[in-house]
Amino acid sequence: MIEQIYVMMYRQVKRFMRARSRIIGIFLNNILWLVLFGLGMASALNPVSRFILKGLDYLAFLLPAMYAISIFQASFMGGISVIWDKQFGFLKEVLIAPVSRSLTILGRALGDALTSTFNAIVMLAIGFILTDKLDLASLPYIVITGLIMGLGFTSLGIAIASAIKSPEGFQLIVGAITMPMTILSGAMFPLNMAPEWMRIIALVSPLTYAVDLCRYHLTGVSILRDVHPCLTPTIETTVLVIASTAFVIVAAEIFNKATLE
Amino acid sequence: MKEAIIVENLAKRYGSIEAVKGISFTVREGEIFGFLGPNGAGKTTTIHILATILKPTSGKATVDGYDIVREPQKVRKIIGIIFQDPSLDEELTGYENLYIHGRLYGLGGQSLRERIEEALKFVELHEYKDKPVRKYSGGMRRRLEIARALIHIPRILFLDEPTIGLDPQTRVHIWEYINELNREYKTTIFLTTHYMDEAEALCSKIAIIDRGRIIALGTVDDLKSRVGSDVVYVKLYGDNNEGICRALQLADVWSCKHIQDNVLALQVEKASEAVPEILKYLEKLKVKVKEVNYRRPTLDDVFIHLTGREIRDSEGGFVDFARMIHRARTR
Ligand SMILES: Nc1ncnc2c1ncn2[C@@H]1O[C@H](COP(=O)(O)OP(=O)(O)OP(=O)(O)O)[C@@H](O)[C@H]1O
Ligand SMILES: [Mg+2]
Repeated sequence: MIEQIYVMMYRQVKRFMRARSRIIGIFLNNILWLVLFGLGMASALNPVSRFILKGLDYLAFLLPAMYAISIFQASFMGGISVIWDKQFGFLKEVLIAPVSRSLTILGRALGDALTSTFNAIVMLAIGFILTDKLDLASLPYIVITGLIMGLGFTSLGIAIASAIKSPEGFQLIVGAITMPMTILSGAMFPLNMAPEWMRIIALVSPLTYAVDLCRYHLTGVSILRDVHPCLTPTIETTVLVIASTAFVIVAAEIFNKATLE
Repeated sequence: MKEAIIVENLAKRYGSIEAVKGISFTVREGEIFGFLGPNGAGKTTTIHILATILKPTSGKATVDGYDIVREPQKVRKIIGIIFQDPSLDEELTGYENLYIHGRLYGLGGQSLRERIEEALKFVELHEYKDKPVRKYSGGMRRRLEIARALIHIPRILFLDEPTIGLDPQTRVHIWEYINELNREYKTTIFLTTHYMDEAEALCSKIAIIDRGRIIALGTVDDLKSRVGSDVVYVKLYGDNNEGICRALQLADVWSCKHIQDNVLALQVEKASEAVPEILKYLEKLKVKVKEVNYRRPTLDDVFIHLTGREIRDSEGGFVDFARMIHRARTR
């Protein structure tokens, strides 16, 4: 069983390492965001940030969230590899193998979760240079949280990709989902100041919990808990684990039914 | 000898298209069995059903005794397949492609490494093993796919048009691998092709399939003997040759077919004796002959005899070309 999960993980990671230009692209993109958006907003907001961000400066507020968002977007987009595999034919090799499809999908999702978490950690490393407000000791928690959400969102991407045939269609749908989810997650502005309807919608998205959780681990501040005292880190982690598990199960179900027709 | 594959009344329908219309046949262990047919005959559909990645609409089939619908995992373990269209991971190296395959089939460690080396040497790709597949030529990819299908030592190997779009040299090369595999490892081989020369070079038994039906089944000699010993082609002047076949009543001529407007295909016992007779007769009918030639019957003659059509693009014509373009695009 471990064997079959491992082999697909191996494949995804190998492919990731081959795609140098893509890695560098993502990396540069992240840095640009940090420098242009992060530093720009920080200088605008720092005089008041102490009051609205619960004592954090804007960079310390943004960086943990960027970590989660980067994993979210990379893993979600990773689902598109299922469509490429179909077009390039490799999917047939997986479908014909005498292994459980659920396990190959799990391996694949784990591999993608690993690579997107790795990417995000590298970005975070730069963050540690930019601000000294982040807690290095929380790194293990951050990695685990990243893997859990990476696993879930890759599965979601795979599920959508398995149902949709064209890469263009997939990109369209992913764009339509990631943009609102990113904004609503409270990554860029504090949710406790947002209108109530927005806060309610935000609570439906698992990404919101992931962002808040990463921020809590890295800075000790949880914005969500300010609004809903019941949302302790343990609860948030539980919500994330449940959501990710559900996505994995859905992806496995859909992929199990995949044929060549 | 045991039966490796048993197929009974197998049918497959895609919406309103009936791709396979109830076919039955058996393949013996150790045999090289060929499915010969034109484009769209239902070859790939059949192979995908037998390899368990497509569900039949009706009918029954067993592979090595396992039911393809009820026990797909058991079937998958003991078969290998080379698909008509590419199925390699282009970003990975040849070695990595084989490695992943081996792990998927439960192999590992030293024994897997040895299997990979052996398979790569078998198809003579050893020196390219660390290059990404993206940089392989069409023939190298095909050979790598053969190597990959051998990693887990399948008892039955399916090959869907193994040499489509390849140059003559590479084709002969691949035939050698297939024959050797069958000889050395006693692998049962089921292949599809629309090349007659391929079917003749490899197959101990052939099923001719057309529009979803098997229209003839037997050894190459069986099939050819249906046509007679020799086939005479007579090319005529002019276009108005409609009734000639009917008018041509000769004891030596077993059958007569217009294969093109001004070309007749005649089946005869012995061409050297029949040709003068035929020419004399045509002269009597005041039909002008442009050209006459004859040959031993080929499988194409069998196909013409059975369907009145030729197996088109059999020597790498337009369709192959169109497909190669398609492949290059999807790459
Ligand atoms: N996924 C599909 N959906 C609908 N029709 C299909 C599908 N796959 C094949 N067909 C149709 O079924 C028929 C048989 O196709 P199949 O691919 O089995 O033929 P083939 O003998 O392999 O032909 P070729 O030599 O072109 O590979 C064709 O008419 C084809 O158009
Ligand atoms: Mg085909």
